[in-house]
Amino acid sequence: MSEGLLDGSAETIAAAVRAGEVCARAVIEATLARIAERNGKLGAFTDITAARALARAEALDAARARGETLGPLAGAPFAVKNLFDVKGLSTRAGSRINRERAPADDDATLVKRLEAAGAILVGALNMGEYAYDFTGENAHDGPARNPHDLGHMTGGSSGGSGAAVAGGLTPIALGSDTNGSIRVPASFCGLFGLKPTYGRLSRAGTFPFVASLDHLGPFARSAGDLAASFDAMQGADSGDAAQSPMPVLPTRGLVEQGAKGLRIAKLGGYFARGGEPAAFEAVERVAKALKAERTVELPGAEIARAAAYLITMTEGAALHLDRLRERADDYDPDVRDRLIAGAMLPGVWSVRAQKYRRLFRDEALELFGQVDVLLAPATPCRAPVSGQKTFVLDGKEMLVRAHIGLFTQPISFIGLPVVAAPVWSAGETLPIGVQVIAPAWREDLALRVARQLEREGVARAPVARL
Amino acid sequence: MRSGSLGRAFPNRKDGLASRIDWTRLQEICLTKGMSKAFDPAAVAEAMAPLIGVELTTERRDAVLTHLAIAADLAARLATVSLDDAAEPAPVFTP
Repeated sequence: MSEGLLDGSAETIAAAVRAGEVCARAVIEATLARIAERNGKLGAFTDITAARALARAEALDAARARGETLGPLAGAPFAVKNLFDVKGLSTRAGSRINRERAPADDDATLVKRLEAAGAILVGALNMGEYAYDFTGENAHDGPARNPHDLGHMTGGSSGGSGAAVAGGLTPIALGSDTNGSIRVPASFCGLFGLKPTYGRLSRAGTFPFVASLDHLGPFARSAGDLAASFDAMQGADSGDAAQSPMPVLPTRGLVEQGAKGLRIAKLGGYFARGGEPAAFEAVERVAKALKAERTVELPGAEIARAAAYLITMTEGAALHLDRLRERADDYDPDVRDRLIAGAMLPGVWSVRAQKYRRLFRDEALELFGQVDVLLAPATPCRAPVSGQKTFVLDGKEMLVRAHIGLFTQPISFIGLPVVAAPVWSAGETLPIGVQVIAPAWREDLALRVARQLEREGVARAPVARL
Repeated sequence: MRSGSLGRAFPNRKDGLASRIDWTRLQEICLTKGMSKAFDPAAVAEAMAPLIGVELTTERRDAVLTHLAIAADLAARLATVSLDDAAEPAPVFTP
């Protein structure tokens, strides 16, 4: 089997498997060999489900031999952030404490859905402890490392997901995004990442963080793979109380339309200050390619970010308070101390933040009467150096962990769907992402724009040279 | 009275979100990091630690105070928005 196949898309692998050009077992064997070779450098995987993956591949090959129709992702390897339940594994959620739990007796809903489409799970991925992290570092399992420069952060908290896909270990990985944990690693690792609308994809069978803001979604190296995996994962699930009864939106057939006919604008104000020049240059480059000359304002974005931060502190603390009382020293100190502070906040702040969430959403709705898609930076900078604790933004020194999500938090606060699109400047070894933001329930629009950018070469997600 | 649907939350744009924000106060907060002279993170932490049942050890103390100060700054920003008495929080339970 050609090694190049593993550097391509999940859809390309699936097409080859369906056509009988390669068998699923060969794809999985090559994937497992590549993980064994590269994972020591990348710190992407915490668990490898080799036996399960090989058995699944053999079952697919047997089904094909019987003349059965294989799914759209047949034989494509994928992996999941280790807060997803995987039958037989303890769902560690990046923590020391949770790995003492009994192994999961079933898979998370999204794992089942991807496998129903033919994809093959090969393991679980490193992440920031309990998802309260933007760096991709982990006090217990070590850091996930940025495949494009091993001395730099992947971003988090879905750091292993970013490392796995950018490092060519899998074409698709799943992550979670509460305040930016898909979009930040997508930006730092140079990947396409989709944070769907809040309530779109089932969170059943995953370890939570902030129920009001938690989303799940895919990383990929192409807009087509994002759409194909997103389509495979949609559908009602009574296991997630926050899931909306909105109808399924098949997007794969729509993305090739590109950006034609869409009204696209840059977000100004809050989204045009407080970052390094590279963040805004990337937005300009994307806007130029899309002929998006208009700049619009979303008033109150910095307050939205403040409100998201407070909700996160409060709900995160509520989730962990019992464990903090009994096992505080088993936490990563950087996570623990934020959680302790969160438990000390007045409840009225959180209620006020939830009321503001509704007002800010109304403001966004008004804006989407005038435009179809908004552009904003995904991160205020390229990937910081591993272990870096502070950075200077707008002339002020700030904590890295607390402030990488400046531009992602106001958007996930109101649950809008976003594709992070990776942009590379000439001569730069590290990429930076641009958020392509659509109205609620219109993931198709963000995916279409991402596809357009990919087609024009403005956004691209190459496998890193390791 | 309550606004029954989100679409009616702003009957006209003169009542849009921008008009509800005290921009002067927000700018002051951004310049001063929201620090009210009356806010003492150490005093809050010392008082709250026994209430929540988590020990504030020497190792944890400085970081907890830093995060309390960040939260107070952000809460001050949030307080620049005027909310109607009838404003509903975002998550509404559907029985």
